Amino acid sequence: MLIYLIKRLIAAIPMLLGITFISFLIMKMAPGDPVSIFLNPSVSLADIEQVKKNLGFDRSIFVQYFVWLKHVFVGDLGYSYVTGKPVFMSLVERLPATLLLSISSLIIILLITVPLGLICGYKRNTWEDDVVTVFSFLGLSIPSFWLGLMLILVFSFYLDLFPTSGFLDPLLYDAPFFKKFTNIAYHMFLPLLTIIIGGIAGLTRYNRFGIIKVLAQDYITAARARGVAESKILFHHAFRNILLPIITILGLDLPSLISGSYIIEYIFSWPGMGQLGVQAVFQRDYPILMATILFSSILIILGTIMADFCYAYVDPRIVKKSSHDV
Amino acid sequence: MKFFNFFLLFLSMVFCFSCSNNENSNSLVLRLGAEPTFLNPILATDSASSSVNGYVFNGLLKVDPDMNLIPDLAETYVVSEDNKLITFTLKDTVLFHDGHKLTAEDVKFTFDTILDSKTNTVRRSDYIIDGKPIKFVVIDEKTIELHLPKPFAPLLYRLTMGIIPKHIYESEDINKSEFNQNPIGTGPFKFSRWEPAQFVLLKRNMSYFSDQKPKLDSVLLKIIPDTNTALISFEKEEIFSCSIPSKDFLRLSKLDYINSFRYYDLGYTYLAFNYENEHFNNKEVRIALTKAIDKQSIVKGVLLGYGKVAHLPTSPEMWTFPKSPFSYSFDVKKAKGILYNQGYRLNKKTKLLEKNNQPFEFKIITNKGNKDREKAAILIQKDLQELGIKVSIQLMEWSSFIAILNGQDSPKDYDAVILGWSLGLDPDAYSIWHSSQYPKGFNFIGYNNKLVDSYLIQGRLELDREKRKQLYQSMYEEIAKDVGYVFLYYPESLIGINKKVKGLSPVGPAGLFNPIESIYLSDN
Amino acid sequence: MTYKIWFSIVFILSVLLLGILVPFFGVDPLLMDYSLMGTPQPPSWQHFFGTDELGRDILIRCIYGGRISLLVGFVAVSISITTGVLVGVLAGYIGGSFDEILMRFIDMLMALPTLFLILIIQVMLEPNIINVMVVIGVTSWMGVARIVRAEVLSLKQRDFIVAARSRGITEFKILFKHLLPHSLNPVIVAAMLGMGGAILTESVLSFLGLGVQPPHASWGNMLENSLGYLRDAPWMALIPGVLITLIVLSLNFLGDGLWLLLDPKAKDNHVRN
Repeated sequence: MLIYLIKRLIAAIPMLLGITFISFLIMKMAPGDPVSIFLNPSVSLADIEQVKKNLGFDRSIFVQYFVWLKHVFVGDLGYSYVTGKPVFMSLVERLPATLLLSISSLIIILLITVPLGLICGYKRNTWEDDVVTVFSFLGLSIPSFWLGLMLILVFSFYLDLFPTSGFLDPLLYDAPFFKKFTNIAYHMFLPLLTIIIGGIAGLTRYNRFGIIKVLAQDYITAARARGVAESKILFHHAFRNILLPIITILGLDLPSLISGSYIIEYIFSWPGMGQLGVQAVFQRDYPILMATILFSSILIILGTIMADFCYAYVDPRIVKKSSHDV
Repeated sequence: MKFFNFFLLFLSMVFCFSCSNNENSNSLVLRLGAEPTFLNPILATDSASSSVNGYVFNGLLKVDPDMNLIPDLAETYVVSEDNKLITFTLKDTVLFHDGHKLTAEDVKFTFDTILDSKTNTVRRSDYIIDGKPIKFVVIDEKTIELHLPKPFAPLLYRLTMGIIPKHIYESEDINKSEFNQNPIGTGPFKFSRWEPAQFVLLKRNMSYFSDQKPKLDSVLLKIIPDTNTALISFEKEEIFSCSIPSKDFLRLSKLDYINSFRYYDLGYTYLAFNYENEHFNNKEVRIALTKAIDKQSIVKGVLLGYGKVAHLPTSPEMWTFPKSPFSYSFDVKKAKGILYNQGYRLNKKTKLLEKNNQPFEFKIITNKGNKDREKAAILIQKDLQELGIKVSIQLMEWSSFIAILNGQDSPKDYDAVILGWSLGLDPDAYSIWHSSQYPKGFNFIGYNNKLVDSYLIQGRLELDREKRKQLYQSMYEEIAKDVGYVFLYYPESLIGINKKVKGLSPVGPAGLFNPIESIYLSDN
Repeated sequence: MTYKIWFSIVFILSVLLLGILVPFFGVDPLLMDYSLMGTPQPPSWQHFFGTDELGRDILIRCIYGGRISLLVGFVAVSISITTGVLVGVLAGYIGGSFDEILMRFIDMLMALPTLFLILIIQVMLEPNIINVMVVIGVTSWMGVARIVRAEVLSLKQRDFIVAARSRGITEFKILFKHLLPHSLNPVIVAAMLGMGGAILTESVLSFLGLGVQPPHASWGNMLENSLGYLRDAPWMALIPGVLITLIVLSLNFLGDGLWLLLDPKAKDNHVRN
């Protein structure tokens, strides 16, 4: 098992190289550069050329890529072209907000979808099942930026229950932990709600079918025949059996929660990594963008490996088979 | 349900501890539309950084609410007879925020760093005249001389550049220094904290050199990228000032806790043609187009009346703006006549104008994100369709858009573009109109008029304000007659400020918080 | 379940039919009423859905926009399905190191954060309708390829393929007559879900200014354009927002329903679209 894990990790290295090279190539093919974004008559083009030269843009794409790669191998992600800040710092600063939002949304989605899926699966094709399906699908189908703005308008503006945007009240930076925590939670409510509404359908659906499948198994029928209480069947047998596949799904979904919540971060001025990365695309801030891609790719690959690993744990045959059937 | 209980618990927790948070009553809360880049005036180019730097740094000179230059760090300055030597005497009592005294060495260091080609700044050529850099010579601790290779009128406005401390940056790589995130300046407010993507907090500088100390305890600049969110926070009094979209102006100005202001900024919006295109190379065609575009309905429909029709390449707020500007009137019939005389004939089948069997069609590009330009493009498309000209519109993401205009070779890859210039405080427009600025430069249309070239050069040498005014007014008329661009409109800046904020300066492009020292908060 | 599918079919068909027929109505989606310009008008008998800030009729723009939104979804999904099926069938059928290389490549593409990938490609290309469709298409075929490959792998072992081979039927025929059609069921489901996803992606791209370009209407860019008017003209945002939600909902219902219909085994890979 350990050898399998190591093998997968080693196999990830050429993949990362490929990913970074492809993204570097596409990025450099996009017109524009980080220096020329000012169209200001008081700025001379000669200065812009000089700055570009200072940043090394006059070299070929391949040279630029290998210079970047060389630095990454010694742990140097470089400096942002736009802010002059070390890239590593810029990423680390954004990490807490992103992790907080994505992990709490994940936990809450789980807390909602597991019981929902259980109910739907157990009472499948009843009106309860139907209502849950319709509403969760509705949540999945709403454009998130629209939903976010609507929530701000209703809950923040008309009802005045929550702040419009932000992360932590600037006056509370030196406050005690608990006060800070609640203030962050207070700011996080609306963005969290937006993510959750969109995220319920998938896992509910998944759990529902898990339950249906388990309930159709012979041993459940046997248990029922033995007169085991329904609640015990449901919570003891069925529940335990759908937990593992959920972990698998989570391993696959965690990374998408990080790069995918950009729109929500933007609307709610949430200081996360998604905002940083998307801004970098528009500003052509290559070092930041490359680091963001590298980071999310590593997360995604680790997620996949973790998911495969969970599978292998249940079903050791999978190690011998090809490892791609997720 | 388990979950529901948890949810309630979460809610109640959040409410108990968050609703009552005692606001600091003497903090001015403003909005930044984007994350600042460099809190260092010689490296920053974006408006978010500039607004922060404006509070933290001072230049030798500054601009008063009437847009006149007045001394800031300088006590006095003398310009020599031949206009080639400027001597600055610095104020005696200026301290950096870390307690160091500001001297002439800091001034020299600031400009020498800008002139150093290793510095990643785009301000270098501001201090280079005809290829020769200005020399900064320290005479003593509080006296510095500027030796110019030849007279250069636009220079004085460029001396508003913030002065950075030599003792801090001397031993650092200025491009990567961590002091670009923790600036030390001389300004009325000290840098206190910058939480990325959240806010920048500035605290009052108690030892500020001016007699008038800042009245506010602090300035808090919240970073709110989305404009819709920003407007809602403004209405909720989470921020005290916000630029207002024209459609919301009427409604917001009726609110009893908001003062609303409108003024012309130093800028204009225009439709520019690529002179390499055979249609647009013809001055008569350009005249026909400018006569066919209903600018008035653009002002009415796009700006909702908050602005006015433009005819000249300057702003009504600029001191060089003439009393009675030259203009071509809106007249579709005349426009059709002109095009007929130039050999354009209407093809009855396609309903398009044709010349030499080639239909008259072109593409307007503009940047996305600016709704006003987008809508103006749609209206122009409609207007020109009347004449039988087929216009298509393409919105482009900013960097790609700039890449086309900044293309290094002639001809550039576009037909027409809608864009706006925001002008500096000096009327010099060499980089926009001089024929040497094509193809490399901001004269991306390829405008070439010997008369305009000479006006531009004279304007830079002449220091007498009245004579300069004459020169620039003649130049404006020449460009307007040529239809250098189709000038579309002068937009008004619409600003809302919470009534709590007092001590505002008179309305104008120099800003309402000018100087920031006199701003204070009060509930009545 | 059935009423959801009926609702979906009726809704999608009506959007489609209106979109196809609208050119014959003689209405112009760009027609501006200059007298109404500047202030959006609320719904009235003259303009059922009201007008937007340029005095254009929102109903007509919605019909034209629906056409474009559906087209974006359809073409994007066609691209992703065609690519996905082709790659999946070839990888599964040929197998060996060819399969290994393709799958590694897919792993790589899937490990790239999709939104960044779309954005980077989109700023590289000129943003227009065709590029929007292509970009969404080429960034979403990998999932389909994996599904199809898995399907082909399991079909290859099945009796009827083995039998066909033993009867001496050519490989080409086996590939296209037997393997391909039999692996299509999950693909149809993925297509429905993918179309909904593509329409949502277009609206997100529009929100970032990289979607279908005005003056052409898509529901995504109409929604984006209306966001500034949430307070004064809520109908401007409500109408396209509800329409996008309904069409994506319909496609999801349809996908979900078809999946039950076509694949009673309830495979695990359905929720990941």
